[in-house]
Amino acid sequence: MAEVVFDSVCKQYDDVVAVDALDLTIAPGEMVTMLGPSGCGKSTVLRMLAGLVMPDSGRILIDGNDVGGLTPGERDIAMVFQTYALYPHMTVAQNIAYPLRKRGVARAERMRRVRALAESLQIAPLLDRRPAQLSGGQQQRVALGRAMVRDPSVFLFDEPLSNLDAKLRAHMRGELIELHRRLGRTMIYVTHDQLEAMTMATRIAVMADGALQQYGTPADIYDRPANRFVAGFVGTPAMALIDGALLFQDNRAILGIGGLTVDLGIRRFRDRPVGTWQVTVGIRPEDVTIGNGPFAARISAIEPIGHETILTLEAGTARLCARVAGSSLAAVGETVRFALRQHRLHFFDVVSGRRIDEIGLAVVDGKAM
Amino acid sequence: MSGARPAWRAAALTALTWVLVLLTTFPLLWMLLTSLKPQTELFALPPTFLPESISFAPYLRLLFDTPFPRYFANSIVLATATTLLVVAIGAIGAHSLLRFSYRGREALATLVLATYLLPSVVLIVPLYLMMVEIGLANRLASLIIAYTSFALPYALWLLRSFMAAIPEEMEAAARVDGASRIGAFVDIILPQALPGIGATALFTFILAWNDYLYALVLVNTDTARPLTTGVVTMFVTTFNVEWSMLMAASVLMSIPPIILFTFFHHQLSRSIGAAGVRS
Repeated sequence: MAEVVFDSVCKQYDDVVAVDALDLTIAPGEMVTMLGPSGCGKSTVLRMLAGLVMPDSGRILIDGNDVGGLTPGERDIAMVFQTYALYPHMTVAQNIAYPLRKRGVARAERMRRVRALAESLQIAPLLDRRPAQLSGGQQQRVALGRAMVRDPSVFLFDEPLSNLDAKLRAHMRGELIELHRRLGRTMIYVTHDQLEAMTMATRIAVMADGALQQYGTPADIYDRPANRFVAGFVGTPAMALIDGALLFQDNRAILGIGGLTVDLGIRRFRDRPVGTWQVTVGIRPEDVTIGNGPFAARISAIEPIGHETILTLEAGTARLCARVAGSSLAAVGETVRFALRQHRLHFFDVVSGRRIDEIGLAVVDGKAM
Repeated sequence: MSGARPAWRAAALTALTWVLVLLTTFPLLWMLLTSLKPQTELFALPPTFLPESISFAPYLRLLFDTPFPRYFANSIVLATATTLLVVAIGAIGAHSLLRFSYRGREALATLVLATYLLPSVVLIVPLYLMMVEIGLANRLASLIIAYTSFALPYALWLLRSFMAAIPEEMEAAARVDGASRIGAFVDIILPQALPGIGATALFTFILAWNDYLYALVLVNTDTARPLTTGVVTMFVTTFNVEWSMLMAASVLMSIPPIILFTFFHHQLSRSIGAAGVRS
């Protein structure tokens, strides 16, 4: 098990800043997913850790050792690539044995370890085949085997499941979680798929535009997004983000969004501010309750998913989604009443986009904190 | 493609193919037949197609009474050395032009092709003077250098396009697995670039084997003369052409390229196919 530390790591390609002063400490044994849209720098982070790309500045430490001067092979890491990168001219057994061969492990020992690993990955009958003769799922297992065979202290995964079909992907997610539990190794997993990130990770690092947006447990990321980007990126359907104003009067907070006025009532604010604050309000679909409540909205779209239905609502100029269990009897164009779970609302600074209870204007509400 | 072609089209294509095959092979066949005819039959009127009596005399004379074996050995050394050099430099260079990032990489790749813009005739005199200057004139080395410089641009581009088809991730994987950059190149890139290397080797070998102009200018001693100029010097004079000797020499000269084609034609057609698909 190894701790991985990025200490103000920067990387620039020509004029594009790929990674901007990344500070991140990954505790030993974590399964961290780097989540972000394509081009956010997450793959560059992984490649710098692997030693395939050299950072422009900053340090990378594995278990306290600066790995800056080490080749990829010397870093005690293994990596699984999106395309699996199996060597097509070698058999499955030769592929898995390759890292051992490069480390001078004797032939008999190599064969013994490859065979044992192949048994555990259930690919023993495939050992003499070539990669081109395998299905996508089998190739995936061989790639995993090649990573596991020398028992590295850190595993890196670069979108390893994105070439698989949906069913196999769900299955492999489960296997990777099990693998992490069994090996207990530090694993870093790059993906743009938030479902993968949420289900597999012990912690998620959300990245955008080369910068780390938030590092926390999946629950943290979902329940307390650090800024507007994280709030909008994580969650399906996305959190509604609506610009509005918070008016403080007589120790009460009145929220005005898109023509709705929400009396936040008992909410108390640490700084006892006065006047009006421009904010962006985040509302998750599950925090909108349909049926009765103080507000009215027109249904503009209905998406039945089976176990639930997503309603798109228009209330004044505000547009938001609501999640309803089962199938809905409502029709498009109908007007419904709804309520907001006020303690679950998220507030972001209009200018900086940062979550408001983390800067000066702190919302102090037992449940929301 | 859908369905079978109409029968008449297949037949027409087959006929056309045979016409082309005959057109290309007839001179070769004529060369072989001429080399076996005795001198008296060569200019017989009307000409005979098959020799009336077969004579191996030209071959025997060629092998035992002329410097032909030495020229042959020179050509083999020349073509083999050039091929090895071009493949080695070409493979490493193509890899560099493809995977290493440095300032002016694309400019360099284009500049390499500029060699092709100049006709050989323009290059040959300065090249000769340079060879004299460094003391390599009249040596096999001068031809090896000349052919290498001439074959390398094409080799670089051919190998580069072959290697571009090998995913970058594969090399990255090898390095993470513990290979050095050279190790990854040798273990992973080279085996997959084999068809391209085969095609490059064949192209280079034929180029060096068939060249006449450079050999004529750069080498003027029997010890270093290759087959092309050697054979002409021996049998073509202002007053006489010894046809049966010339043809026998030509037949023997064709053997190494034919052997190489037999071994590498698969790679060659693949490389032509690959280049066609990519461009």
